[in-house]
Parts: sequence; C-alpha cells; structure tokens
Amino acid sequence: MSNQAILAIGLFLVTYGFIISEKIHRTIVAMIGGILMILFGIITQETAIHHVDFNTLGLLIGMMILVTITAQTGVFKYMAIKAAKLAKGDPLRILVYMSIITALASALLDNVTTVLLMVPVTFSIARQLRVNPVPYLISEIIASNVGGTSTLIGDPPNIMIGSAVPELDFMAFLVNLAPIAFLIMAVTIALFYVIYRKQLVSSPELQAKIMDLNEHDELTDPKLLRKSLAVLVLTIAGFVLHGVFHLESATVALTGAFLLLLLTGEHYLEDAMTKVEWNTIFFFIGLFVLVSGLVETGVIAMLAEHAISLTEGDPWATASLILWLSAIASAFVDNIPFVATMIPMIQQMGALGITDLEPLWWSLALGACLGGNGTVIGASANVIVVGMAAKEGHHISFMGYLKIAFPLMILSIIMSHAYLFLRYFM
Amino acid sequence: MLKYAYDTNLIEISETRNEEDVTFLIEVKSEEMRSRLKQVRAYFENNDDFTDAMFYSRKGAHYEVIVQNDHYTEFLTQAFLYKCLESLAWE
Repeated sequence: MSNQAILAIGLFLVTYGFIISEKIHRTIVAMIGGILMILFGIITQETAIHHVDFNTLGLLIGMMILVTITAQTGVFKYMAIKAAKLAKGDPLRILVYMSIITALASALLDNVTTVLLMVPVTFSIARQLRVNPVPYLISEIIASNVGGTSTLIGDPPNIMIGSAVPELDFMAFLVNLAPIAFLIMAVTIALFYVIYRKQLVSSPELQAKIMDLNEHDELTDPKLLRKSLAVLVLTIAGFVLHGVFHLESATVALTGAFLLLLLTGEHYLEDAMTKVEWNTIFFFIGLFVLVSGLVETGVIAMLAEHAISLTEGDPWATASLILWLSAIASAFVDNIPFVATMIPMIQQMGALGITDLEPLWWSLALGACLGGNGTVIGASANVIVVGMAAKEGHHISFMGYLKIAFPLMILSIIMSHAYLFLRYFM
Repeated sequence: MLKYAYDTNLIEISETRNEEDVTFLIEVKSEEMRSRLKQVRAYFENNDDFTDAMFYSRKGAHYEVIVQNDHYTEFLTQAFLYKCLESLAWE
C-alpha cells in the first residue's frame, strides 16, 4: 500500500471519527477533510471537482426550492387536518393516517423536509386531543425513512445511488423498492396500532373538536397553491419519464424549481434560496472529495477485493453482506458518508467479476435507508424530530426510542432480505 | 395583571385558564379582522417554538387559540400590535 493510500485512510478515519463524535458541525469536518485531501497532495483540485456529484447536489437544491415555496401555501397542514377528520378524531386512526401521509410525502420529498412540515401540525393535533405527541413523532420518523426508501428522490442514499448509476432511473427505484417499502410500512403501521392502542385514547368531546376544524382556512394562498401543485405534478411526471428522455434527475428538479420561481415571481427567489440547506450541500461536497481520495489511491478497490474474497464472489452472499452491514452501520452513523464510501466499492465489485450489480444497489439502498430507523441518530429526520420534541418539552431518550425502533428496523431488514432473495436470487 | 379591550363590532374574545395554558375563543366579525388575526398567527407559526400559541380554525369565523402561560403576554402584545385589540394595559 502506498504512503498516499495510508495518508488517505488516516485522513478519512479521522474525519469520519469527528463526524460521528458530533463535536464539530459535520459540514465543517467533511469540508476540511476534503480540502486536506487536496492540500496533502493525495488528489488534485481538478480530480476533486471531477468527483463531486453535481447531479445529487442539483436534485437536492431543486427539490428544496420546490418544497420551500409549496409549504407556504399551507397544503401540508390542510392534508394533516383532513386526515385527522377522516379518522373521525380517533387518536389511533390519526396515527395511522399521519404515518401514511408522512410515508407518501417522504417518497416524493426529502425526509427532513417532510418531518419539518409534519411535526408542527402533529403537536397541534395532539394538543387538541390532549394525548402524548411522542407516539406520533416516532411513527412519523419511521414512516419518513420507510417512505423515502421507495423512490429515487425520497432519501439521500437513493439520490446518491441513482446519480452514480445512470441506468437506475426513477421508475427502476419505484418498481424495485416501492413494493417492499409498502409491505414494511403496512407491517409497521399494524405494529404501531398494537403498541400504542392503550396510550392513544381521547374523549368524544375532544374528538368532536377535531371534527369541527376548518382545514380550508389553512390554505393561505390558493393562487400560489395552484401553481405549486401544477409544477410539482409536472416535476414528478418528469422524474417518472427522465429515463425515457435521457435526462438526469437534477435537470428535472431544477427545471421544476425555476419554472415555479418564474411563475411566482422574484420575491420568492430570495426566500427560497435562503431556505436551501447549504450546510447539507457542502456536507455532500466535502464527502465526495474525501471519498475520492480513497478511490484515487486504490483503497476502495482493495476493500472491494476483501469483501469479494469474504463472500467468495457469490452475489447472494455479497448482497446479504451489503444489506446487513449498511443497516447496522446506518443505525449508528450518518448513512450519507457510509453510502458515499460504498458506491465506489460496489462499482469496483463489478470490475472484479460480479456481473449483475443491480441487486447489490438495492441491498445498499434498503440497508442504508431502513437502517437509519434503528436509533435516534440513525438518520437526519430522526435527529431533527427528537430535537424539535425536546425543545417542546417531550424528551425522546436514546433507549426509549431504541426499544421501539430497533426491533422494527431489524424486522424491516429481515423482510428486505427475504424480498431480495425471492426477487433476485431464486 | 394585563387588561385588554377590543371593538365588539369587529371581534369577540373569551378566555379560559388551565394549569399550563390559556385557551382563547375568538370570533372575528369582519374580513379585515380575520386578516389581522392571521398576521398574529403567522408571527407564532414562523418562530422557532411550535407550541407557544396554537391556532385552530373552526367553521364560521371562530378560532381557538391555546397559549402557553409563559407566552400569554406575548400573545396579547402581538394581538395589540396587529390591531386585534384596541388597548392593552397593566393594572
């Protein structure tokens, strides 16, 4: 192993350690790690830029702009209140409906954005029913991660995989991942129903107050709503068809975002731009550069060789290894840097003789997205919701969450394991 | 103690105190007043606190606002600022 490779591994591990420790903001750590890769001469700036996946960044930015503007219409509050009324104000049925809404929204939007939109209205409904909001929050965390698993744009690991493997378009993700995500969601909701049936009880009077809510008053700007929904539908149609037209997903998302800005006027531009999560965008850039150091020095190729020798090149064993490793790792560390490292490794496995990589990509997507459900630190949505709950005086402890979510996560991975076998290896 | 007054031709307000919060039942009698109340709502919904004042829009022109005790003064101040109240004074 060359000195450059050893230096790259050292730099990568130190950076990763700082990201896990959360002592310094992960964006600062990732960017400094990436910059040091260049300063130490492991890679050139040109190589670093070549490794930055602008498709992933464009897709994230485009969707963030679209959602920021759409959220201002009040449509998400409208949907939540409508769901609560459809549930006749019954707290347990509301949990089921809110979980379904969260899962569907997460399939089409970023998970963090989805929970940011759902949590305030959840507090509001729980307060009206005088029930503990924590069961709703936990179910929304899990629903957002499961829902996000089902599409190319639903969760950052999928965005990264879809961007790295052009043949895996939106429809490929939907056809291969949505069936198992749907099944996992159905089982999870049924289990939530059993787990929380005694906790979520309210009086008929309070339920009647939910039925008296006027959801139409939540829609603040009907004109903006029409424009936003029209562009959102067009954008989703664009994702469905982007493979047919040989367009990258970022092109679709950015077209939607700037078409909406064109229709709404420039006064939305500044607000939309400030609400783009630039921290996340630079976190991705830092990681892409950091991992490029491992790629360019041959470390990733070496790791792929080790993995192949461990599984003796058997595709089923390799897929199983990727699935479980991704799930356990993603439960305890950020799944974004993990996936950033795994992508070149799986690509290298193709060069080492595994002919059909597709099941391996699905293993990575399922493991990384669903694994995030395991602990409160497993995915960004979890961290955000737990933080929001704590601020409002509802503490969700690490162990309290783990007791409910970790077994559910393991169950979802067992189901995914069976699905992968039945669909791709039988 | 804070005392407030309002124009009963434009708005009706009643409040009930609980242990942790105060529930306001508000009826707005004009579109202008509805718009002012929406500005108060926007203030509380755009800050970082999700449960300081929770607004529930009901059928007709009725609103229920559940305000945490700690934010009682802030709610009335904002209501006064956006002219939902005519006067606000310490007594």
